[in-house]
Amino acid sequence: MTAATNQTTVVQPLRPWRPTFSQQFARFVTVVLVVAAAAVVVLVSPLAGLAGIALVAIPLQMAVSVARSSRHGSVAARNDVATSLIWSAFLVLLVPWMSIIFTVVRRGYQAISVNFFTDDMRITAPDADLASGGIAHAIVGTLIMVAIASIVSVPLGILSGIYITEIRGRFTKVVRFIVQAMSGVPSIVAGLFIYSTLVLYNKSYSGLAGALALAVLMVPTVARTSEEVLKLVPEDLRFAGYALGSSQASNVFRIVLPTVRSGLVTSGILGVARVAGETAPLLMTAQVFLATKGNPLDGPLGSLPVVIFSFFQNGADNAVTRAWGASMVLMILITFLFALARAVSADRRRSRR
Amino acid sequence: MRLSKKSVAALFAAVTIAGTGGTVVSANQQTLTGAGSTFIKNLFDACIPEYNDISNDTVSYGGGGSGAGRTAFINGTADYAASEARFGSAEKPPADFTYVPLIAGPVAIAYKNSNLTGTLQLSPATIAKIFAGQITTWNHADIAAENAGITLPSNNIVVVYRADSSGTSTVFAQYLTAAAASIWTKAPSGTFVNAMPSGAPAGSIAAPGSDGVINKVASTEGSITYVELSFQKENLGDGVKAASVRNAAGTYVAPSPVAAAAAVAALPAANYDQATGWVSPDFLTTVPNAYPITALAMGIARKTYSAKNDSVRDFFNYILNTCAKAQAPSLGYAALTGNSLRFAQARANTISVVGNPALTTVKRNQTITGANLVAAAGLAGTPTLRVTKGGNVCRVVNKTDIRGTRAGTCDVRVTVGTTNVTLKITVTR
Amino acid sequence: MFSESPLEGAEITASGVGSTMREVETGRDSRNLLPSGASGLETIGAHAWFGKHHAIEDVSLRFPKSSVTGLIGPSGCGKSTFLRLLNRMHEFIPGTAFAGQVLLDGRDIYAPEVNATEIRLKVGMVFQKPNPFPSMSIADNVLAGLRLARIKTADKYMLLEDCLVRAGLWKEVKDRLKASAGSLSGGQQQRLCIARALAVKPEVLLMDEPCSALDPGSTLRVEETIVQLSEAMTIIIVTHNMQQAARVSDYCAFFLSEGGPGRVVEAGLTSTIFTNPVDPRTADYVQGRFG
Repeated sequence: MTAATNQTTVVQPLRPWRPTFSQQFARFVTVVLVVAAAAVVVLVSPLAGLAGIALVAIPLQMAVSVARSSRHGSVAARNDVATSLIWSAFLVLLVPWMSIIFTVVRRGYQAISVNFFTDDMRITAPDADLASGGIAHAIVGTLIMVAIASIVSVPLGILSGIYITEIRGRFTKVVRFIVQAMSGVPSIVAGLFIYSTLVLYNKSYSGLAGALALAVLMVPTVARTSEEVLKLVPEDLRFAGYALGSSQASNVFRIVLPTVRSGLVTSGILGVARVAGETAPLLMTAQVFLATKGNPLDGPLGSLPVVIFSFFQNGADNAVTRAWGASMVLMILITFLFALARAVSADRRRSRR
Repeated sequence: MRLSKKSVAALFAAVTIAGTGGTVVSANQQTLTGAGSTFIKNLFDACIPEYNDISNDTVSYGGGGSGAGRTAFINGTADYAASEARFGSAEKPPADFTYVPLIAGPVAIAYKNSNLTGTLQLSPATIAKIFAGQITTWNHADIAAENAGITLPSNNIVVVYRADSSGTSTVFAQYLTAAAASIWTKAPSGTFVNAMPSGAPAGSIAAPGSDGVINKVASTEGSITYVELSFQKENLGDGVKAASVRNAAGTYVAPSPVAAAAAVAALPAANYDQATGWVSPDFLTTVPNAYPITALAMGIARKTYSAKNDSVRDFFNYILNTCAKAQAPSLGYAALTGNSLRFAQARANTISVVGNPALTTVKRNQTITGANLVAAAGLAGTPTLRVTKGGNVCRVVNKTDIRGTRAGTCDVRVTVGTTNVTLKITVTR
Repeated sequence: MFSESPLEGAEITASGVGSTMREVETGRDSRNLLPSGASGLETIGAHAWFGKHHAIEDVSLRFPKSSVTGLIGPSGCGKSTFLRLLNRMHEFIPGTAFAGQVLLDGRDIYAPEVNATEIRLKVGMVFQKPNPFPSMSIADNVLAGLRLARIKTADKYMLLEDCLVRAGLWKEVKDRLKASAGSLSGGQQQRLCIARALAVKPEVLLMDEPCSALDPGSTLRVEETIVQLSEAMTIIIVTHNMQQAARVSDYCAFFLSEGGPGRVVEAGLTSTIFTNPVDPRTADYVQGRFG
């Protein structure tokens, strides 16, 4: 091997399995043409709107796929039909999802300003000018209650998952049955339960009561997901631990749980997602409060779902805009919590590598 | 992105601190929890922030319906409540409660029918037949008879009513019982379906809350409901109109703050209950310009002295004297005036006075009025006073007042009718 | 709490012990007994059941200290089951039962007062499939046993290096001890599992077909490791590879199940088993005529 040959034969990395640019462009043009044709059909026929376009475009696109790829044989044609079917299904699902986000943003963006995050409604009427007042009280209240609910229910849920999958004790079936039954409990019943116990006993609504009502709803979600996650741990790993003279407790806490850490984080996230938007149980337990406060033990506590509810109830234009704004904040907050939890679990795993 | 436990905690703290940029409640200020009527909620929504601003208290109002409010007041979870219906016989309110009339408002007969132009006129009997399910189409002969100049469409009437226990439902059912007794044969109830003579009409819809029923009407062609006027006004843009209702004078009156105020102003003395503070509406008012379905929303509070109850009294007084006058017309309510206002003010001043040390403490050579003594004793009426202990500390003057003569304490027996209460009076220098 | 014996276990044990006593007399003939010597581990009339299925019957073997014993025999003859009896891993499978005695330094490991975790600490195990802990680094994997059993060591790093050297992995991983165990190849993972088992300093090491998933190079390394390790500990290895058994073991026991439960047909010095077996079935098997 000489320097000369090294210079003359520079090998470029290629990806021959990828479609070429012209192929991709042709595909794109086809889709555009199909949608345009569908739009024309919708214009001249009794079909209407986006749904009409979708109704015409999806079969048309499939027909075009079949026609185009049939020269490569029936397997290729079937593959293309399946591809366009999956893409259509994806787009059909995307439409309501995007429309929800779009509606919330379109109707709520006017409410968003600095004071919306730093101020509360203590001295601002719901229909007052949007330049005053805000939902700081509700953001803080929701964070506090979701945090307490998580602190209570994530360990409880994971422990019951551990009981079902690891300990497999005498009450496994009973525990699983109770968890399943609990996951069917309507949220209002959870609220009523805490109301009739804690709230009536204290003769006061409180953030803690709200958090516990949320915890009642959160436990079954966390328990069921963590059970499923723990079932994924290979039996081999447990045996490996036991063969090293591990007790069951250290086996569970040092081997099984760390192995599925990100799965358990996900189970916690799902639990939070389950409860963060709950309104009914909070109305009955944490009720409403207009000022920002950090103490979950002292009287009622505001929360995002409840302010959204009461803003809508007020009905005035500015109040409704505030409700949409608060909905937007709630959605962003949940997304943010998801991202945070994901980042935390991913971060841990990477740092070990 | 590297995130440690610390950074998460810091972030949470940052969010919390950002939150506290708003108003923070310190321990010495009062936080009041209220619940009840959705009828009055829009007034409270407007008045509470104003009151919070001037008082440094933090008042909240959770709504939930009159029934829920009364229950919360009985359970002690609410410091005050609002209701258009009295405590029921099965309910056990605390002995020291009082009603305080806060606001009046017309209950509108709200409907949506795009093909019906002009304003519908309805008599009590027709309304009763509609809500009892005896009239099921918009062009029924009874409706046509009262609306000569209007073309009536033939579509079906969809009755929308409150699903929750509601003061508005109670008032409306009471009205139908009073004004159309032959058709509305069932006793009034907060749960409207229980008050309907032959149950819910076919095709009718139940919805929770005033906002719930009005949203149903706004989205349902041919529907009709009963709701506090401000909710109808908010949905005028969606084609929700309010019918004019014939009163006992024979006039068709459209619901309005003015027409409701006329009904309240004409209330006979018998409708004011001196014992509890309850004011009954007069559904058979013969004042020509009075709207007959006028409800009075009552505040409910406690007479026993406490720092919280002091704040409740201040809050109620603020509504009666300041906020209602300013806000009521634009919200579709009628602020109390004249007799009803004087009655309400007197009732508000019975809140938080029983055992209030301020009412039984007096400086030397000054007097406590009999009214204060009666209030502090939790009684009502003109008292007979007698100093039973410490005759050199205080004495009875003007028959009904107490004057302090030197520093010390004395016992005064307050008698109203056959009831005796002994108060300990403190005289300071 | 794990896998309590079924109710009928009591009866099985009773009858099992009875038969053991009988069999022990006949069982002490040359057929079922490895040559005598300082014995660390010994079974007397061991039986095992999976539910109603009688898996192994009346196995009495003695494993001399500082030696390698190969357990050979066709699939399904109960070798792995027998291996798991030796460190009480058998009982994790629901519905299993056991009868007989397993003596470790003269003490019955199935005696009621004996703590199973303590036994597993002394009798380590390497499994057929490499099973490093995926959530841990290479170093943490090796030291996992210490953390799990709460054993204190003066110098973790020394131990880490020692175990990895003895498992023949040190050179390959010394620069990436913090890397995830999942980043290793299959052969490396298996040697990591051996290092992990060594770290708790077991007296006996059980190996269940440790090389079945490995390439020839890795197999060779593991075999070298086994031979080295046997200087200090008792090793019992299940293998289907006759050459491997011949290469690494000092003694062999031939298991066979002829329709019924698995039994030991013949046991003795590896050289004897492979060159001059007593039982014709042993001869057939080691020469590859069946199995």
